[in-house]
Amino acid sequence: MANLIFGGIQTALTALRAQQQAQLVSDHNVANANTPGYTRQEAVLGTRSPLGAVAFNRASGGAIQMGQGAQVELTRRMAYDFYDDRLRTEVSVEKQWLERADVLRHVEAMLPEKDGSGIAERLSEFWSSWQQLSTDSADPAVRRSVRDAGVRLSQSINERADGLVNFQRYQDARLGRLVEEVNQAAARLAKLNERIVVAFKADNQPNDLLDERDRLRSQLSELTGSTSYIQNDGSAVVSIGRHVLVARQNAQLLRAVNPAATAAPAPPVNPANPAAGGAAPVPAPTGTVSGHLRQLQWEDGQAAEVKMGTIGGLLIGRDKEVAARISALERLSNTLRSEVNAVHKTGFGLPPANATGQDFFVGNGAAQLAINPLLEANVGGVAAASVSASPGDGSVALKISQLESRLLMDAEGTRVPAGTEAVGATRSMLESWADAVAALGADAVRAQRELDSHSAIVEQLTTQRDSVTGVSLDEEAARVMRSQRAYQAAARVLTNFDQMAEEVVMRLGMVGR
Amino acid sequence: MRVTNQMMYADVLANLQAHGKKLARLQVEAGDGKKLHMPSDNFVAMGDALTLRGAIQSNQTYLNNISTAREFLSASATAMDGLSTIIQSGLAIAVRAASDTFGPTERDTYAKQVDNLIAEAVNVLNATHREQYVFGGFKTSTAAFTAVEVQKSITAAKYNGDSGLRKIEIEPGQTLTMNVLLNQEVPELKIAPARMLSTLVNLREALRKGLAPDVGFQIGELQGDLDAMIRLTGEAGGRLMRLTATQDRLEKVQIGLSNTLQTAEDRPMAQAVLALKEEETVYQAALATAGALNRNTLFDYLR
Repeated sequence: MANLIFGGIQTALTALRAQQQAQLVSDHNVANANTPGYTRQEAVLGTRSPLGAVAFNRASGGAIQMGQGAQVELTRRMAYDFYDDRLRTEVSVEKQWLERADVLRHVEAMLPEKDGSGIAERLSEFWSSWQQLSTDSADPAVRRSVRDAGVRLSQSINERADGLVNFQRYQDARLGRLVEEVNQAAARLAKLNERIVVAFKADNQPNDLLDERDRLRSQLSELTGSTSYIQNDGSAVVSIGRHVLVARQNAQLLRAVNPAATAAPAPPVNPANPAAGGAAPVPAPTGTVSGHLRQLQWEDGQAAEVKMGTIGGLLIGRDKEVAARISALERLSNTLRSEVNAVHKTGFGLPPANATGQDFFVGNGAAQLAINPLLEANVGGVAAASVSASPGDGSVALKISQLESRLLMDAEGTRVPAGTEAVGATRSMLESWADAVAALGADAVRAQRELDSHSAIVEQLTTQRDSVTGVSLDEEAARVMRSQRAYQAAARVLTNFDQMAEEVVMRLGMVGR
Repeated sequence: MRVTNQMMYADVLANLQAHGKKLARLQVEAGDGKKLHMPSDNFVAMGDALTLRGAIQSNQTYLNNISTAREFLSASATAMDGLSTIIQSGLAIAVRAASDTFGPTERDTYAKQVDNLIAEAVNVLNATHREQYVFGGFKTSTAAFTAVEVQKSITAAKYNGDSGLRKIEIEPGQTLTMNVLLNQEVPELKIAPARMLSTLVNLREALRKGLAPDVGFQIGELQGDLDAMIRLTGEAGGRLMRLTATQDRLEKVQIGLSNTLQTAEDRPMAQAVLALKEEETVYQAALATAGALNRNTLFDYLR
């Protein structure tokens, strides 16, 4: 009898402990209700193994099963790997488009064309000033207006080219910081893998470590588009493309290296950059990688291909989106310089100098395009006449102004080889620049639409995942109430057995005292 | 489906951000009345707007060119009218002096009158417009004609100019010559209008010498000079009429282009303000929803 009473007390005690533990799990859930990446946990209650008690009055004479109370069998982590994996893939795509959309938004801001504040307006002003010079070629004020329009045009091209190249440099520096972030996360994951394996071997359930592991998997995927899977020992294997980044306790690190520092001398910022004044056709290296920018490499020296995630988006933005706009500026400035110079050289300035054979524009590439300093100092040298000592002759100025409508570029914005304009050229310089601006807008719209579309998918998957793994405060409150009531009931049972024990200890055996 | 607290906050935040973005966009549009700010706002319209602005600028340049050419040609035509008047005056003197009824004194008086006409003709041949000599071809900064004097009497006018035709563009691919060359022959008459000066010199000499037949001969020559001058003036007038017609057409094109540009990049103000008000209402509703999230939870009822 006494055994049964104390057994009852023990059973009630297991209930108290189990309900306390269940409350602690709810407490942990509530505490992490807003923790990113936290997976809610659930205390799974179960019965303790029963004891066999001898029952003399049973016909069979065998033992009966006596319950030993309750226990928390495990703290279940409510993870849903299917949603997690899909979400990681989608997030890496979303991050890539987010980066590209950001880059394009910056580039749009750097190439303003609103209300005639852009290159197109400066170009029109420039041609217009030559038209005016063709009608009044001896007037110093008109000559100054040609010089000033040329200065404004070249400066507006310089500023934009400088801005884009500086933006590429900023992205390059940012690439270094992001690679450092990847390496730190990979190193942390490798260490975490080790702890998880040890915990599983000891038959522990390291839920919070698993959350941290999955958070790091998500972070690496967001940054690089990496894929990962979980091995039987609980450790994560993460790969970028076909190269393993983390396996068990080993992490292979990434490096952002400058090829120019170790290889041949760096090519110029953009290859579309023939010598000043040349009439050679301008190449159109869209999407090329500028030689001075850093490339990704693995620790072992292999080239790393990161196509998705923030880093993938940054590389596409830097090497394709920004480079394409630098190329467009280079093509415009090179065509402008070579075409204007070719005609200007044939003309004559004002008497008495009657300067001839001079370039109007000088400087290599879009960033260095400038007016010939000789003309800037003396506008009399601006060649408007086709014949020496003819101040009223504006025929060369007229020829230069007619370049405005001359079809020189193909549909891709490339200067067609000289002499083949009638066959291959379909766009004037202004139209070609307008095409480049429209293409920028189209790319920005596409990037934003892709971003919106993938963000919507991510939002939906996040909602679905959160509906399984997220913490509901109301739900936790209900669990707390349930555990509280069970705890109160177990306490009452304990009190009851205590009273029974009191009967046995204090009241039985009173006879003969 | 379980609804968690993070889901509710994420939804509200996403809604607020989406409406806030629209609101900010509409505020900008209502602020400056433009719907094109970035190429991505409407890349097709942006491409069109840039080429349209270029076309408007070119058109305006052509209109300016036309205006310049009109002024220059008008100045040239006025000068040629002056030269025609001088020829007519010379002709009148020649007709009167050709009669035998006048004696040497009268003829000498006529010779002096013609001498004055010659001096005036040299002045008019050197007419300028905005400090440019109108009849010197490309040589606009030096006097087109220099008087050759013998014993203080003009005997000829030396042409200092060249045969430069000052062409300006008045519309794409269309050029027009804005100057007139007086020393070149009018094809139909084979007479250069500038010959009138030597004809007047010949008339003056004939009058001084009292040779009536020679004076009579100069009448025919002056008539030819007048015809040549009138033909050239008429031809300049024709160019002025062409300029006026082109100007009228380009002004209409300019209005059409400006309207098209406005359609591409302007946002009607009433539409912008209305859209802004609508979006404000939606944004306020989203804010109210966010406020409602701060309601009590079941935890408030735990004892």
